[in-house]
Amino acid sequence: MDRIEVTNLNRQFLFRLEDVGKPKAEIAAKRVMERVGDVNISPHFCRIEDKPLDFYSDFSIIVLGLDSIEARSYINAVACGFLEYNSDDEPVEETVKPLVDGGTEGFKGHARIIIPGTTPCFECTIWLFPPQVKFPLCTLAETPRTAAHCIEYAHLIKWDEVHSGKSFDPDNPEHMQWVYSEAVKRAELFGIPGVTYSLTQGVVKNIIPAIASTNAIVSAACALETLKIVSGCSKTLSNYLTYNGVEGLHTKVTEFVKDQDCLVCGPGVLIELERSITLKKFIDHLEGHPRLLLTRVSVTHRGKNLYMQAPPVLEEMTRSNLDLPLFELMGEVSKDIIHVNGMSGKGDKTQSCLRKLRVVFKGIDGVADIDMAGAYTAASIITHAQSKAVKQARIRTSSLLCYNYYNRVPSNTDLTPAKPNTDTNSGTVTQKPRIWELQAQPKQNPMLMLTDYTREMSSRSRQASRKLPKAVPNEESLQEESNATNLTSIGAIYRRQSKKIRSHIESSTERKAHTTEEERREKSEVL
Amino acid sequence: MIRLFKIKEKQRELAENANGKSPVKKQTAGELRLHKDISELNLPKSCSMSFPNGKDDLMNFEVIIRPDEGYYMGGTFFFSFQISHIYPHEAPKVKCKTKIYHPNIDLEGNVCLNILREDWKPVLNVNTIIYGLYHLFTEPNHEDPLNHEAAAVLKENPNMFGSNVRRAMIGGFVGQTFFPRCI
Repeated sequence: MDRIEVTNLNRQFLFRLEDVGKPKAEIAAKRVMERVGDVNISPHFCRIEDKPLDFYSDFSIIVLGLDSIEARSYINAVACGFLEYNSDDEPVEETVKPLVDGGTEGFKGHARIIIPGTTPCFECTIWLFPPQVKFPLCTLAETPRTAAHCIEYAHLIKWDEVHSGKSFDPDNPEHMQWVYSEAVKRAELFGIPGVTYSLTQGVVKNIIPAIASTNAIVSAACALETLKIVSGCSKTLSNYLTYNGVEGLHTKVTEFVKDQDCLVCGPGVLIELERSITLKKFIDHLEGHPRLLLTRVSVTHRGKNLYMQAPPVLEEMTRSNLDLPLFELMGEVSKDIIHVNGMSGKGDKTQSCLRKLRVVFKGIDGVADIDMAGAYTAASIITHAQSKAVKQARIRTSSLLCYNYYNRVPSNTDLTPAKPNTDTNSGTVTQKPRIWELQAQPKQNPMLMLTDYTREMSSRSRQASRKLPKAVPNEESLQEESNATNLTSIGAIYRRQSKKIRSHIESSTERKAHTTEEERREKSEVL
Repeated sequence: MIRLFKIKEKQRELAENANGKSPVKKQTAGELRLHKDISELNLPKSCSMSFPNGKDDLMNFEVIIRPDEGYYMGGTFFFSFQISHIYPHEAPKVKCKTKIYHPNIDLEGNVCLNILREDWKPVLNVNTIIYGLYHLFTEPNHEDPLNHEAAAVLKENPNMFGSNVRRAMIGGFVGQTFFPRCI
């Protein structure tokens, strides 16, 4: 919901001086459509929360260029809300809506892929954010030492004293000017230098000056990832790229692990119930459920608190729900998600826990939906990627693209959930197969691997777990990664990798032709 | 890959048209964490809560504290809590709605409590904040104050501070400021 400002023009190259004041979405759409034929962009000038859920469910991929934690949290919840799990607690592929997110702050930036159900979602890794800088109120009131203290004093304390009732609007230039002048007075009183109008804006709106190069690098990474997801031409980023240009240039890709207990994207515990069960009986049932064993349970469904154990006023307000059927309280849907909070453990070792539950009511049409994963196999995905349209776009197809969307959590998950797997030197099976690891298994023809895999996939039942070929740690790949930190462009890495794939595919097709030639000669000799 | 979504969507639409219901608003992770914190509240006898927007809006509520010891014994003080959607990443916003003569609470209602600002951690919750607020009444702190005169009086002459507090609670003037009755 941004309008173009003059200060944007140094780096937002789609905008011109005459566009200042107009909505960014509309001008950006217009400029891109003028330059690129055959593309259709529909701008929407509104808040992301103003669009209904059906709007978002129409899209295949959502790419984010947001400016706050709240906005990202909201879209993440929307995208993960479309995700469904089958009865084996595996994500149903058709409901997966990939997200590509990027952000910058001065010289630093990040780009990440979120594939709900496979990679960690935004909430799984929200602990990554450092706490926000907040000054103690008494420091602001009594002992300011920096220019920021003076500005915050004017913004938080003096504003209420003078304009009590009116809320401060950071986008109103008059309000900002008032805060600036009060901050200057305060700074003079305490002899503190450095209060400027732009610092005032920065402190009050939490702005950090933007740099064109950081934005270009991060947005290029995001655009590339989106292209990979759409076309399936290459393995996607896995799954969080950080960029830091403060001293020299450093980028690193970390593979974060999904939090199994994540309230937003996790599978939760599947519970099947009769339609007649009351809320009270449901709560008692949870006490005995082997995966839960929760006592003193409070229940909430889509923002409605069905029963609260505390505080006393809420317990009284929700007590009447205990005798009503849960099916009715949940709006009479056949299946939905509810959250319960209670105490688990026994005796001294009780601890509180909040669990997500997938409740399914028996005996209603549509329950068979849970298991509809199997219709789309690896074979069809690969065929699509190798289809004519993709070939015409001159995008290289890789035989490893079937690895992209399947659950790739390693079998020996002794990794604690939601902690970064930064151990790139581990020689265990936890290494994910990388493109250049084809070099480690030179004898294996990638075409053969492809057909083996698809045969495996189609012969196995839906219920069986999918096994990946064992990945061998590759010295070259580790060297490659450490080299990456010394390079001055991400592009150089991609170019080297693509050269390796190309040369390997060429040599293996030669070898295949050679072996069939040999076979024919042998056969003729035998005969 | 992309075509797959369309097929599922058609099925979803069919299912919805049959029920006549559309997808409901999502509950944010912050609301869920708040629900957990509130359902486990363990308040002292002197504290109670009210939910002016009903049982389903946990993001805005009031806490009423009636200290039963110390300088503020017998008074009734209202605090408003506003929780943001990214709770617990951001601390709740707490303001005192009762005009009070206190070294750490100013006349606008801003509360100087470390865990509400610089010492807030996501592992803290509403319960710890309420205990922190209660602590302000049992042990007012004259260092780093928001109300300088009150702090100075407390430091130099605790007896006079006590009588000032009582006069403010009964309803009267302390210095130039008038405090309405809250006892």
